[in-house]
Amino acid sequence: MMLQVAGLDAFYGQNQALHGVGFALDEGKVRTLLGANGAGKTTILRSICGTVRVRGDITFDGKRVSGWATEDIVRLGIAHVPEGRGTFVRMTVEENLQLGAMTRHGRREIAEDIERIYINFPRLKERRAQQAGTLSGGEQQMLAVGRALMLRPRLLLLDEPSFGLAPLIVEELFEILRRVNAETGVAMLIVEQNAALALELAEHAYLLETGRIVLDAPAAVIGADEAVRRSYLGY
Amino acid sequence: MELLQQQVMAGLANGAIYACMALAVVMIYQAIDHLNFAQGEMAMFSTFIAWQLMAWGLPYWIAFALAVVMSFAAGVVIDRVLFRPVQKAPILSQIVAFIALFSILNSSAGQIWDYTIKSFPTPFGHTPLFGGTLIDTHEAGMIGVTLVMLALLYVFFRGTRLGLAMRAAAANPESARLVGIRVGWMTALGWGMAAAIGAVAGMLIAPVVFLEPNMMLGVLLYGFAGAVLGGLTSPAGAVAGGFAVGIIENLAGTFIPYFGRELKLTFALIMIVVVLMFRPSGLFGRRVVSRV
Amino acid sequence: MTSVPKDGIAVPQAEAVSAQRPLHARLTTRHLIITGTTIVALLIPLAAPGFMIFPLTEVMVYGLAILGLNLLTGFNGQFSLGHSAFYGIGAYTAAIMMHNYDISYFWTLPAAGAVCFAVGFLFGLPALRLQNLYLALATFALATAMPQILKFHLLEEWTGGVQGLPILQPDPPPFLPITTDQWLYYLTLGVILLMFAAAANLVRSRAGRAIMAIRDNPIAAAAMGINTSLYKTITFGVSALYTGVAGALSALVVGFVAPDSFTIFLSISLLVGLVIGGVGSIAGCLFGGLFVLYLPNIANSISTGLSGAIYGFILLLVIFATPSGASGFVRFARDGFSAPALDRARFLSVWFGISTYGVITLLIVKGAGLGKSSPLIFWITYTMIILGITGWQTIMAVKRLSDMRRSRWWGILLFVPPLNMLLLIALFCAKTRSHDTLTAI
Repeated sequence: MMLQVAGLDAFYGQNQALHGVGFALDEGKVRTLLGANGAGKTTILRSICGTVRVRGDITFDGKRVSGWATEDIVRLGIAHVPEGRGTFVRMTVEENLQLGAMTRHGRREIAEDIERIYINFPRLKERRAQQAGTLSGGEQQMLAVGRALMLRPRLLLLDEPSFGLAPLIVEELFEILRRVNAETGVAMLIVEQNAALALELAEHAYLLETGRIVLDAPAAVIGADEAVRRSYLGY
Repeated sequence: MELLQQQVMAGLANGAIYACMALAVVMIYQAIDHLNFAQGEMAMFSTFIAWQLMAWGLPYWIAFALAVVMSFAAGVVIDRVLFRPVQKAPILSQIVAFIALFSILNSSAGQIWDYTIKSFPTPFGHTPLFGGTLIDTHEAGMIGVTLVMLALLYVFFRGTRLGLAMRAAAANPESARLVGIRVGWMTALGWGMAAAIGAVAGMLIAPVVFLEPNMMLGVLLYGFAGAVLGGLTSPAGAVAGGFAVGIIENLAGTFIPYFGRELKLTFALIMIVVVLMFRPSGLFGRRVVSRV
Repeated sequence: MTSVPKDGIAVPQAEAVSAQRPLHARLTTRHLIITGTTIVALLIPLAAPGFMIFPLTEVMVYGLAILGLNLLTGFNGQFSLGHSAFYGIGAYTAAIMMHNYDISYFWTLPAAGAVCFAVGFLFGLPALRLQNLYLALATFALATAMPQILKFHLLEEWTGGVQGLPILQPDPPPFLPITTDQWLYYLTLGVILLMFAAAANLVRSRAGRAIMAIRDNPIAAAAMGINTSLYKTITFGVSALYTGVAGALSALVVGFVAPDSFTIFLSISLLVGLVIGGVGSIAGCLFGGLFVLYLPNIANSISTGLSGAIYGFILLLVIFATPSGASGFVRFARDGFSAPALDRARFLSVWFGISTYGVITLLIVKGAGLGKSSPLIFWITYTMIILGITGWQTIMAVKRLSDMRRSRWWGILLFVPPLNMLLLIALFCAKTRSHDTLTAI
């Protein structure tokens, strides 16, 4: 298992947001975290990245990363597309992509990767010299994903990629994610409110409620279970 | 007309001082996203160190280089010791921390080297240029050095990865961490560079205004004004702004009868405020468009 | 029971209920503290030695000036380095009225307020287009202009030029057997009480909420229908009014006005006082005033040559320990154990912060000369301060222990001399690194 989480507690100040969360993720697999607002999905991603105070075990590639600084965790090959995208708004699209590759060396490979991103996200290519802050929501999301991919990550963490996007764009985005996963074998952990789309992409899902995992099952199973869908996922 | 030309030239000469300071100001702004009021005092202190080294017998260029290097180190130390603890504090508290630094440096310099005016040598000499009394070799040298520094900085920020990383760390530290940038080091580097630039500015300015602990007070303000006028996002704008401030100040002093020396500063500031009202991001600043 | 909705907005139930609760239930600790302090303040001039009254009056005046700045910067988010100008305008208004036109001192206060309100309001209009840094520069210009304008030779007839104007200090009313100093003290106290109460009222009102909303999120505020331009300019005016009245009071108290008293350094002092007292705290303004008045003196008494350096050093210590100022610190201490965990650096700085505040207070008390004139009061104050320091440090240590998830009873070691150093070291070295997105203090 590439990523293993066990007995994870996370804290915002004195508030405990996660209680004994445990799950695992294998190379190249896509899994999704579902649940209502405030359930702790974003907190899990932040815990993996080291942005939040944690207690418990997070192991990546056999290394125990709980307690590491974010910069060091990122260098292991974990890329995070945060809530709100975290775009560098004052920099150009191209610069944002270059920043994604900050920890890598090899100018030619980086340039090739940028071209590859432009192929995947043609809209970004049109706007390569534009200030990132002027892009629309959908384009900024694409840029955020593109920037994360520039790291050539082994694990991609996506926090609500569909947030605030029109349904057509969301479908486009998820199609791209599927393609990227198929072509490069990058594992993905996706936090999503749009359960239907997430369950199509993922092979396994975890359902969170107030900081605990209440359901841990393959995506197909959850998708097929009407009772679960109706009471937890709202469709 | 000739008077106008002459005053513009004289303004350019003065403006070189402000441009130099403005560069250091913008440098720190790019690193930490706001202004450091103690910038001038840091530059003054560095100049005194250089003076002391020369008083102990070191030749000019060695003292110059040493002062720059030591200032860089001091900038990093100040970042770690003074800025770090208040980084998460409200901006007003950070400003007070800078005020405290200002006070410490000013008072210490006065205590160590006392308040008598000292002269500071220049490698360019004071030979008048163009046959007049307006601009001499030193002032031309100042303009030259400022432009060279500007060019170097431009290349650094736009053309190198480290420069890009620094800009990113200042603009959005959280996201910068997520791409693996060590934000703490970037901030320290920014401080070091700002201190080094300040040192160079101080050592260029001292031959003109003479070395004493309060020499940078007016200069810093004009430097700020120049940086703001030029737009804080642009080192080139800052330099241009600095020159502009020098020219405005000189023209105001010459052509407006009532003002004389006293209100020159005020007038310059008012001019700048008026400009900012029409171009809020400064003359050359990039308009930051933010979608709500 | 809910009240009848007015304008479609129901009056919140709490207001309706509190209008019916009996008086003794509505009093809070805050009311008690304010009443107690006021009573003490009323009695001080009668008990304290003569030379102490003037500085205390000055503290109140500075506190009022800082409150003006607080209204603009703390509550409305408009950064101003120009309040020394308003202070000066207020002072000179009073001086000119009394010196050139022989008007009674009583009218100078509202006049200064009115003039400054007008100037502030007018300045606030172009200020609408400027933000933060640029506003800082503009107000800086205002502050540097003021001494120059006051010295301007064309205005010398009125302003007295470089020398300034002397002012006849008001005599106390004939039926009160007190000195001039004491009368000025009570006058100032009265004005302070009135204006602080007005400010507190303003802050709690709808207008106050609008003002704060503009500070926190101007776009949202505008989107909610708040007339941001109007509120911002009026706040500028009111803020100038407060500082102007303070300036007028200072003219009366000091006895003269001169241009070089109103430089940019005064503005900076006011800013420092604002931050030390606590931005956004009305009571904190008085503490800020105390600090601004006494810290330079203390620094000077420690070393004349390095007084600036010592001033800066103490200032840094205080800012490190309590970045949100004294009021923030009080809030933090009150929250006690429910506050977020302290990290190592914060813990140590808070610890030393308590000591620093304590030592400074002690120095102020000593410097005020209480020891010589009334030893009893001195020793009582001294003991209370020491108890305050020890008490708070114990609270901090116990909180630290609780963060470390150890038993709080270890705190007792604090009182055992050789072991308390070990405890302190252990408390410092313990790892409770927090990645909080919330600030602790």
